[in-house]
Amino acid sequence: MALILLAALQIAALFLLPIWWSTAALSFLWAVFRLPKGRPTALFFFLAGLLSWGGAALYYHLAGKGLLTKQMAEVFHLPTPLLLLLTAVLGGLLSMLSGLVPPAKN
Amino acid sequence: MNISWRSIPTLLLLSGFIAVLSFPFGSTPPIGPLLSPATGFWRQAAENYKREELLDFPGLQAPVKVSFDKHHIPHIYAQSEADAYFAQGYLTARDRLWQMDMTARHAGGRLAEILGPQLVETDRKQRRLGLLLAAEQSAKAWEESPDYPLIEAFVTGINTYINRLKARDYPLEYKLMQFKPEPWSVLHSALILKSMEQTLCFGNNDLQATHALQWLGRDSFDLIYPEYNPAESPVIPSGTAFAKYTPPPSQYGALPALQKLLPRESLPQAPEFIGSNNWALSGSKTASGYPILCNDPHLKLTLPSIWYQLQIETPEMNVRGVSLPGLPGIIIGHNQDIAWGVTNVGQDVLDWYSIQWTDPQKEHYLLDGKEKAVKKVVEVIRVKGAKPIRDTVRYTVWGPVVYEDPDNTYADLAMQWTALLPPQKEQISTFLHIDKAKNYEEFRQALRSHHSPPQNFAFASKDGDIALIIAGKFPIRRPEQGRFVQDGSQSQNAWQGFIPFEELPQVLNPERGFVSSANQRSTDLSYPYYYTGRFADYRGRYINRSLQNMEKAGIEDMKKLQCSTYSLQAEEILPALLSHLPETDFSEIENQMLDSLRQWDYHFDTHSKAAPLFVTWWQAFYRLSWDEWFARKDSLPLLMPESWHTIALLDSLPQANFWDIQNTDLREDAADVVLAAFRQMSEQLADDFSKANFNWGNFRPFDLNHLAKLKPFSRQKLSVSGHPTAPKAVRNGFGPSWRMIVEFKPQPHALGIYPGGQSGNPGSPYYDNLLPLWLKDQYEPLEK
Repeated sequence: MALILLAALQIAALFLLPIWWSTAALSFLWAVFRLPKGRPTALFFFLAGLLSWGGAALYYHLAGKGLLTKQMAEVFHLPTPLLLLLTAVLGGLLSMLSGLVPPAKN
Repeated sequence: MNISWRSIPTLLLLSGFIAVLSFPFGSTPPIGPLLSPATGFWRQAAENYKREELLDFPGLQAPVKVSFDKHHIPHIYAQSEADAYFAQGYLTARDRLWQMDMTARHAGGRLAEILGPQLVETDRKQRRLGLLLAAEQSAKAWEESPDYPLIEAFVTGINTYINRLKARDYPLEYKLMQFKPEPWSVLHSALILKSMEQTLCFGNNDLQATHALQWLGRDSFDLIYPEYNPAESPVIPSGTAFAKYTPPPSQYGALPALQKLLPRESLPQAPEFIGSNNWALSGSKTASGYPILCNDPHLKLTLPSIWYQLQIETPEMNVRGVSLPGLPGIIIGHNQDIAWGVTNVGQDVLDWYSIQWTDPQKEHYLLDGKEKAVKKVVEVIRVKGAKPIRDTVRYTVWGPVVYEDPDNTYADLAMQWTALLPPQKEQISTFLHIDKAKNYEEFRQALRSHHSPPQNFAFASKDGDIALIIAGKFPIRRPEQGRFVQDGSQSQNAWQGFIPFEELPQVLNPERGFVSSANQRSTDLSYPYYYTGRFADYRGRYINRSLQNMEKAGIEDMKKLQCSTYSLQAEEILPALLSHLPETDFSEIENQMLDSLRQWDYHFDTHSKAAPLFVTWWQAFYRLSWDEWFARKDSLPLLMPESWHTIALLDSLPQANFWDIQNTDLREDAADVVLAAFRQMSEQLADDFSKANFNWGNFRPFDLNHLAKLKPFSRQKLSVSGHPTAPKAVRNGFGPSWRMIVEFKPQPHALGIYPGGQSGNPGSPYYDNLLPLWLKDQYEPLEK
């Protein structure tokens, strides 16, 4: 549930804020506020970022019938699905690294 | 919060990660912002398109209603002209901002400031042409025009869009090329016009012809390069009465001795015979009894498309057609009363003058025996990531010194070009006035202000008039003036003024019942003013022949002619080649090739097997015929003989010396060259000829490239019929940029199509949605 909530917050930020790394800020804040109960795992943050970036990209991809994804995949010399995956993984890494900034409790 | 020193390594890692993804590497844009769904390309992947919109912005006198048809073509309903052009600016910017921006930047020599040092040389060449300065002068002159508020409204519309645009919603190419839009100004629009002038009337052969003359001598030059094809069917029908005028004496003075020091490289120029057609039939030749007008301007084709289609309706006018992104109004189209279309005039309006410096610093030059100081203009070329570069351009009485040879300090070339003449305030009004003209007189009146690029304007009206006016600013020349580089030290080599509008070639309701143009010569030799230039030869003759034979014509006949792949060049050349081909032992495959050629109907259809054979044979023949020319051409700009004349010489002088192929020991005549070329062709194509997929469509690739040549945004390897010498004048990357047919009944009914789509966004379904229709020679109604 927490995972879905963080991903949803990240998606909202992606659509609303003109900052490419807003995901990192959200993961960081999430980790800070969760510190008293124990910081979530790296996998948790990675999956949240993966879901939010992947989900948002998938939304644009589907809404645009994949027209631009196909052409941009050619720009990157990648198959179309891999461009979606690359975007999602980038979001996952960004979320994970920022989520891990606050140290876990000993 | 409990963040201790233990956070530092992860924090550094995170910071590094964000930093690495935020910075560009060379021309690669920063990956983080580009891939992020918050700011990246994804945001251009799913744009919203409305069918109805009400524009209500500060700057508009009243809200403007816009409805879009199924191809996203806007139909603007405004209460005033100013509001209509505001809306045109706003909508064009929304669909084509990056294209407009790049076109203006290229024309003004401002690419290096966004793309870096590798574009400095491109910018420097552009600045030396003087287009930025000329555009600045135009923008200033237009301020005095009563129509200036209309272009201001257009500019305000564009800026209204730009000001509302958030960085994360910049068109895709801005994100990839890492720059941002700048506010639009009247100067930008003036640069768009200059860009069109550079495309359409920069062509010149002065340097090439001068080299040829020096090499061949006068007699041989005259033999190889006649100025007039006796079979020509000029734009203005032969027999049309022209004004009386006595031309001035021949060119003043001999070619200067300095010309042996002429530049050995010529500036890039638009390809010859880009290939536009227009015509109008009077009611006497149509089934409906009312005129029909057709136009298919051929240009270098790009994505985003060259044209932006729209309808503008105000209480005073209702006009449909295509506009040039960055300029207000409709350039080719129709209103409720008239229709018009344009093709390019091949007349040369650019001359080169050899400058004789009197000092090594190039501060002064010789004019009529006296020293004259140059006017220096320092062009500052800003460069992304580097210091600005300053280039001093010297202006003479003729114009800017464009060619400068560092090894030859005393021989440079200055350019006189109508596109650089002091602009007049009326220039801005031509198309704005055409758009609302109600009859021939108003149309003709509007053309008085059209200076450059010179165009063949075809016209038809619901009143039943048809006309063709060759409009533009044309210098009055001495015979042969402008054919060669001129002596810039003699002021008598100046142009003798400009041809008055009344004396420009024009015709109203000719007896033959039609007018037409296809980039051929403007007139026959009875026109009293001398002109030279680069003219197409075959399409005009074929179109005139077709229209002459046409009766009770309708829209389908017009479509057929516009999309005709019939080549008059093939009709004239192939029988000549076949008749001069000596009887010899041909191989089986060669005999099959000959059979294919003999049975060919001269149509460059995609399935034709003979078309690639003919083209390859002809090209080989042309190269072998003029092999001495090609040998020199690599190191020297040299005028090449025309194809119609090559064939004429094949018939008239088959034993002449120039047929001899240089790199053989034999002494060849014309028939030997025909055979040698045939052998080259058969060797080259023998393997492919027997394959099932050997045909014109596969032989001649066709690529519709993105403006920045980004391959994923281009549409390549298309199979397209046509040939530069057919009405459907297609060659790789070039072709009909817009096809339009307007039939009066007497109310206008119009069809049109262009390759591409309304949107400049490669992610839009409207980026290339019209291309499949264009490829199939289909049309769409201009009415909503």
